[in-house]
Order: sequence, then C-alpha cells, then structure tokens
Amino acid sequence: MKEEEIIHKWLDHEELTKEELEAFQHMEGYASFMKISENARTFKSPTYSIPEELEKIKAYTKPHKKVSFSTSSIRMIMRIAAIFILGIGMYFTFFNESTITKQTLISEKASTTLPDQTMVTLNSLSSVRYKEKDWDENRKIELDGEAYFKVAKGKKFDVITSAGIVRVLGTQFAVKQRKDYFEVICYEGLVRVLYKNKTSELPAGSIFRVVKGEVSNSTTSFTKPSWIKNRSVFNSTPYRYILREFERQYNVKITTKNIDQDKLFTGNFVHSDIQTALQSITIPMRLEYKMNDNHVTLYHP
Amino acid sequence: MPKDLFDNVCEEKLFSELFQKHAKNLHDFIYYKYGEHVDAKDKVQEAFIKLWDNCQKIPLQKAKSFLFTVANNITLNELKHNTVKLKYQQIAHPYKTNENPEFILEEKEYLQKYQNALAKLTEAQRVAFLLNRIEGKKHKEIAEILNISRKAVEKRIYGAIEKLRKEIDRI
Repeated sequence: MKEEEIIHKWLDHEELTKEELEAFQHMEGYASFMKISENARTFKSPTYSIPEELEKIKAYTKPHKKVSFSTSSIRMIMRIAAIFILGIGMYFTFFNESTITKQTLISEKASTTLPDQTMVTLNSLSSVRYKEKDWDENRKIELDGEAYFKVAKGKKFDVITSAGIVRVLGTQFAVKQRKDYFEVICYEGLVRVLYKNKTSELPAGSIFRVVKGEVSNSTTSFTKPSWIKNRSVFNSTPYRYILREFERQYNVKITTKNIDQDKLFTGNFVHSDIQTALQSITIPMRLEYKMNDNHVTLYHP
Repeated sequence: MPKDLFDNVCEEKLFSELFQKHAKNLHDFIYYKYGEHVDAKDKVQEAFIKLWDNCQKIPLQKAKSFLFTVANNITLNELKHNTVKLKYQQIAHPYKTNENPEFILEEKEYLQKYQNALAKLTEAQRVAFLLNRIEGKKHKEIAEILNISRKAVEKRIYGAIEKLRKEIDRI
C-alpha cells in the first residue's frame, strides 16, 4: 500500500523525500516505470500554436458579429422613421390651420355664422374665406363679391377684398366688390375703409362707392341691404352694373343694342319674378326687351 | 455559488480568452484519445466555431464542457465507420548520441511494444496518462480538464502505468 502511494506521488510530479526515493528505487518495477515515463515523450502530440490557430478561427467568427449589428441598425432606422411619420401625421391633424370657404352660385343667396356669432349673408356669385383657428384673436375674412355683415362685438374685424380693406368694431354693414366696382354701406356703428392708402370713416347711413377708380360718397336711409329681402335697389348707378346684377340674380345673358350703359339709373328690381324685374329696369329707361330662353336683348323701340 | 458575470460568450474578447485557455488542452485531449489519424487541429476549430455560432445560448461556465463534448462528438461521428486504429508519431531521441546498431534496433523494438501497449489502454487511461507524462500536468489540472475527480485521475494514471509495464515487460 505504501508502495502505491509513493508511485502516486511520483506520478503527480511531486518531489519525493530521500526515504521515499530509496524505497521507490528498490521497487520491482522501478526501471520499467522510469523507461516508460522517459519514452512517453516520443508520442508527443504535434506542435500546436495557439496564436496561429486563433488567427485561423477569426475568419469564421468575424461576420457573426457584423450580421447582428446590421439587423439592429435597420431596426433603429425603422423606429426613427416611424416616429417621423407619426409626428407629421400629428402636425397635419392638430396644428394645420384649416381654411373655411363659403360660396354662392348665380341666383343663390346664403347665410353663414362665424365662430364669434358674426352673421354673414352672401349675395349671388360671392365667396368668403376665413381661418377658424384663433378666430376670436384675429378676425379676418376675405371677400370676393357682395356680402352683408352683422358683426359681433369684439376686437377689430377686417374684411379683405381685392379693392380695399374694411375695418370695423361691432357693426352692421354691406360690402360689394365686383369688377371695377367697390361699395361699402354702413348701416350701424362706424366703418373704416382702407382704399388705396386712404382711410375713410363712414358713419351709419353712409355709402362709400368706387366706380372705375372714382370715389363717391352718398347716404342711404335703409337699415339693411335690399337684396336680403330679394330686391336690388340702385341709386344713381351706371346702367351696366344694374345689368350685371340682373344677370347674377336670374342667370341670364343680357345683350344690348345701341344703349349707353354709362347712364345713371335709380330704381330697383325684384329677384322673384323675371318679367316684373325686366319691366322695372326697362320702362324707366324707355327700352323694350325680348327674351329667348336664357338670353335677353334690350333695344330702343 | 457566485453568479457568472457573462451569461453568454458572444463577446469577441471573451471568446479569444476561452480559446487561449482551452484550445491546447482540447487539442491534446483529442490527439491522445484518438491518435494521429484524426486531425485534432481541425476538431478544435470546429468545436470553437460551434461555440461561436451558439454563443447566445451558452453561459461562460458551460463553455469548456461544451467545447470538449462537441469536439469529442465530432471525432466520434467521423470514426463511426472505421475501427479505431491507433498510431502514434515517433520522434527520434535527440538526446541519445551513442548509436550502435544493436541499440537502435532494441530501441525500435521497445517503442513498437510501447505503441501496442498504449493502444491497449482504455481511452480514459491513455488520455490521463499522456497528459500527465508528456504535457507534465499534475493530477489536479487533469481533473479540471476532464471534469472528473482528482482521485479518478490518480486511479487512471496508476492503472495505465501498471498496465503498460506488464504489457511491455511480459513480451
């Protein structure tokens, strides 16, 4: 038993004591053990270079990491893109200023109420545009055509037309802007008209009119535009504008024969009956008319 | 038991360290176990590549046993249809200078016997014995490499040298 322990110790590369060494040397198999141990070296494994082998394996292990990196970066880009798309969507949903347009066709009238309860009545073939956002802070409305405003009290209220700007503070007034023709009638309160860098103030019952660039002032005793009650009233207005208004109200085409369209006309016509209306505008001017479908011809008798 | 700092071995630096630590032992283990006709270098490479491909699933603690198991299995798969033939490379003794023909013949005969005796050892005995005698490893180190107890290593090596002595001396 002691012998075996000594052999174990020797095999474990431990230093033997003098006694143990002596005992070991007297053992039966000592010479054989030594020879076996010595000759084992002849069976040594081939040389193995760790750095060399590591270099070889790196060719296989490198791409692995790259793949995992590229997939994660694509994912990252997708995430960023998704946030951008979401943001753009939110912007258009919540922050974009929506413009509201209201318009009328020939022989049509319409009323609309603005966010602050201001009433707007549109005559035929007219349109208004305004932005709903911040309306109470910034009351601006674009007008093309003819409209009557009953403005709620509040901050300044601008009506912007291609001819000029009308600025008021809680009042009732009508604006008519047609080709070569711009007219503002104040029915209540005070209206300020900005026309070609000049400011005019209109008290209640005043009319501000520009015909072909010529400014004129007059007065009215009406409290509302007549067209609201389906009647067009004119006061010393060139005849051509009466005819154009007539065309808008009845959707007809008027041609004239040798008639001076610059003659002034005072009178009115109704919007409900074309025969009566035609008589209203021809008899005072000593004219006669012929009607053929949507075509009306005016002539001297 | 302290918790492992790394739950996988995907880190390249960690992988290199593992290679430096285990590659040589793994190579020797395969070589002494199966002999020269198995390309031990190749098996080491394959085992480490497998480790890298599966790095997500393997904690650092399990890496060594994974490598040894995989290398062993790869080698066994290759040998499946061959009977294991053990042949060891012979290296001339550089330290022996007195070379009379008789001695050389004797020496050659002895090594032949040695070779046959080694082939008759069990794989377990052979690996432990050669790691001990050739690579100069202590029992404790071999126990770590093979994942067995120190006592078992002692037994295998002692068994191996006794068996070799009997084989060589008898004939």
